[in-house]
Amino acid sequence: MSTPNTVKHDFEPRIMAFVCQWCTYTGADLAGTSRIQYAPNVRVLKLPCSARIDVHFIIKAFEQGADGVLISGCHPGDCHYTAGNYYARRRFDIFRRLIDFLGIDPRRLQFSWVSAAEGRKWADVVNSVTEGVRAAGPFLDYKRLSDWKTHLTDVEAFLSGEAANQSPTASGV
Amino acid sequence: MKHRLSQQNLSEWLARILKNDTRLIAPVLDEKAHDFFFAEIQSPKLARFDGFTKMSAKEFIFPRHEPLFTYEFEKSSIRIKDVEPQVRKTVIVGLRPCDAAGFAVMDKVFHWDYDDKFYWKRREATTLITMGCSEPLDSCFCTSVGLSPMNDKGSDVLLSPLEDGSFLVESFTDKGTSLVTLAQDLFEPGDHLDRSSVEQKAVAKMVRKENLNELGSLLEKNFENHAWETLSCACMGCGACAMSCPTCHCFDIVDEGDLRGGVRLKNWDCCSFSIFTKHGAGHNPRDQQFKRCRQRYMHKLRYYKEKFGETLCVGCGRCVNVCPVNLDIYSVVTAVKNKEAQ
Amino acid sequence: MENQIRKIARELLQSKKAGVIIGYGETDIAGRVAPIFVTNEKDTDRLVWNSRCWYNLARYLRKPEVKSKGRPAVVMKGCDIRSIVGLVSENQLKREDVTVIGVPCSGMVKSKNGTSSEPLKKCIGCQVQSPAHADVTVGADSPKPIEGRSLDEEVAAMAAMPADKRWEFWKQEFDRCIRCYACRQVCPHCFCNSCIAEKSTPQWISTASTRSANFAWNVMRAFHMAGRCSGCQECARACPTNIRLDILNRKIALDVKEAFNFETGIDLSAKPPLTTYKLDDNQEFIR
Repeated sequence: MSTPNTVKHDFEPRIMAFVCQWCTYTGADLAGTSRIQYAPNVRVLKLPCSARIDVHFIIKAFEQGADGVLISGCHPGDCHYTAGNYYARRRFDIFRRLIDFLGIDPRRLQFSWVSAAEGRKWADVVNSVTEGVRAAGPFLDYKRLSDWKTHLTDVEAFLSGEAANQSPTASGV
Repeated sequence: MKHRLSQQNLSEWLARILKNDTRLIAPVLDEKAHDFFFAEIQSPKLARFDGFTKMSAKEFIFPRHEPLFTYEFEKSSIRIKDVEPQVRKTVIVGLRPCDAAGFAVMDKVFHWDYDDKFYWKRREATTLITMGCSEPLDSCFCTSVGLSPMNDKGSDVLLSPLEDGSFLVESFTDKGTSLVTLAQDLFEPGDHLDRSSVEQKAVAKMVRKENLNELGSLLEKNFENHAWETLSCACMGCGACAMSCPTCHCFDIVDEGDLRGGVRLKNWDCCSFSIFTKHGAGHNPRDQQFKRCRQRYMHKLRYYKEKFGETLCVGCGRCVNVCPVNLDIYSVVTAVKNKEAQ
Repeated sequence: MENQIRKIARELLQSKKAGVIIGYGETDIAGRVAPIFVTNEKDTDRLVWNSRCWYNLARYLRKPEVKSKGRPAVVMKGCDIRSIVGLVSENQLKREDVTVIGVPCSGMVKSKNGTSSEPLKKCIGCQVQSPAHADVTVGADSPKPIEGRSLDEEVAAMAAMPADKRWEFWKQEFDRCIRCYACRQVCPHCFCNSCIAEKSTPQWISTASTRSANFAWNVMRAFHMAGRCSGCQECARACPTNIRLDILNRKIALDVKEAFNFETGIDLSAKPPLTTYKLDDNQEFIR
C-alpha cells in the first residue's frame, strides 16, 4: 500500500538509500514514471551494484545525520554482474548483526531486493522503512552535528556529536 | 610552608576543593576497564591513591583532540573563526612525582618558538597536587633520570606519605598555597617534618639503578649501532607508549570538513606510526620500525636534552607497562650502553 | 619443555632449516616475558616457556625486519597456529615458508610477572590446547582444561541485554579509545599496506578521538575482521584503555560461524567466508 504523504508529522526522518543502478534504481524510476505517491524521506545514491556498497557508506550516512539507511539491489540470480549481490548478501548479514549487537535499533538499517519492474514494491518499501525509522526517532547519538553554521560557536559539542544524550531506541523528537 | 594532613582531612580537603567551583581530577578505579585511570570525580571517595594509572594525566592539559579554528567557505573568501579553549579551574590530585615533573618538562616545548595558547590556558588554570610514592614498581626508573619517588619538580603541592599514615604537605607555588589556605583548618603545622627519610626508604626500594641522564654523547656515537635493530625487533608500531606517556607531545594537525566549511584539529600523534615521517612525495626517512623506535628513545634521552637541557623521559614506566610486547626503554638503552662499554 | 624448544631451535639453526627462531624470552623485569628473535645457536638458551607466553607470534611473520633474518621457525600455541592458518588461507603466507613448533598449552595467566594464577580471559574454555598443524610438537600432550567464565558466556549475556544498555556499554567503551591503533598493529590479520584510517583523500574515518570517529574506527576494524579474526584477543590485551574488543570480535566470529559454518584457523583449505557465497545463504532479513 502506497499512501500519499498527507499526514503532518513532528519528525520527518532522513533516510539514505544506497541502491544498485540496474535493478532498484530503475525500479524507483518506474515508481516515478508511474506517478506512484510515496514518502519523500529517502535520498537515493546510485551505485553500480549492491556489492559496491561498503559498510563505510552506512557509517558515514549515520555520521552525517541519516536517521536510517536503506540498501537495495537486484534479486539473487538477477545481478547484472552475475554474483555481486551474493557477496553483498553475506556482508550485509554480518554487518546488520553487528549493528544490532552495538545496541542500534535494527529498524534503522534495512535491506531489500527490488527489481527494475517493481516500482510499486519500491514505494511500499520506502513507506514501510520511513515509518519504521519514524517510530525509532531521530538518531542523534551518533551523528556529527552536520550544520556548520549553527554550530560554529560550539565546536566542542560539534566534535563530540553530543546533541543529546539519548538512546537511539527512544522514540519521539 | 609545611603542614601535616591526616587521611580523613585529605578527603575533606578534596570535598572543599570541589565545592569551590573546581573540576577535580584524580586516579579512579574504572570498574568497566578494571584498571586505574585519571578521571573527573564528583566525590572525594572515588579518588584512589593505591594504584598507578595506565594513562598519564596529560590529556587534561593537552587534550586528545583540540579544535584550533573553524572555517567557512563564502563566495570568494574563507571566513576563519578562532576557537577559544573552554577552560575550567582544575585541580589534578594524585599525580605521581614523575607525572608532575612531566608537565614541567613538557612546558618547555610549548614555550619554545611560540607560546601555545591552548596548552597554556589549561596549564595556568590547573593546580597539581602530587602524591609521593612509598612503593615504587619494578618498572619504575625515575631515579635514573634525576628524579625520585618524592621529588617536587613540577608540583604545586606535594603530599609525602609519612609512616604514621598522615601526609607532609608542601606547597611550592602561589596556586598551591591558595589551595591550602582554602581549608586552613584541616592542616596542622608541619615545619618540623621532613620527607628525606621516607624518600630515602622509597629510593632504596627502586630496582632499576642505571643512570640514563648523561647519555647524550653515547647515544650520538651509537646511532648506527646494529643493536637497535635487534633490541627493538619486537616493536609493532602500535603507539600505546606515546599515548600513555606523560611527556610525549607530538600532534597532527588536520582539517576536517565538507563543502561548506570545517574545523582545524590538533590530534595526538605518535612517532611509532609508520606514516609519521612520510613525506608528501612518498619518501619516508624512518621507513623501518627500528628506526622509529630508535628515534623515540633518542628524543627522550638525547634530542630533548640537547634542546632544552632536560631529559624528556621521567622514568614513570608507563610505556613499559602498556607495551603489548614488554619493550622497555630502560632495557634497550642500557643494553646499548653496555654493548658500547664492551 | 623449555629444553625441548631450545633443542629444536638449535637443530633448526644448525641444519639451516631456519634462519630465525621467533620465540619467548625473559626481560629485565622479573617474571616478564617478551618476544625474542634468535639467529645464533648460542642464544637459543634465552628461549623460555611459561604461563606468560601470551603473545601471538604469528604477527611477526609479516614484519619485514623479521623476514629479512631468514626462514622463520616460530614457537606457537594452538591459538596462535590458527592465525597462521588464517594467513595462509588469505594468501598472505605460504605454509611451507614457516616451521611451526607447536607447544601444548595449559593456559596463560593475566599477571605480567606470574604472581597470580588467574587465567587470561581467552584461555578459558580453550578448544585448541593441543596444537594442530604443527611441523614439530614438543612436550607431553595432555594439558588441563582451563575453567572459568568463558568469553562466549559474556557475549551471550551481552546479546541478551536490552538494546539501550548495550548502546550505553559500547558508547562508554569507545569513548575511552585514544586512537593509538595498538589493536590494529598487534593483529596478525590486519595486513593492509595502507589502512583506511590513514587515508585522507578522501577521509573515511576522522583521526580525532571523538565519539563518532571512535565508533567508525572500532566498528570498521571489527567488521573487517569478520571471517578473519582467529580469537587470539591480542587486540583486547594490547589496548591501553582496556576496551572489550574481545567481546566485539568474538560476537562477529560467532555470527560468521552460525551464518556460514566457518571458523578461522581450523581448515587450511577453507576459503574466507566473505570471498565466497552459497546460493541459499540467509536472506530473511531482506525484504
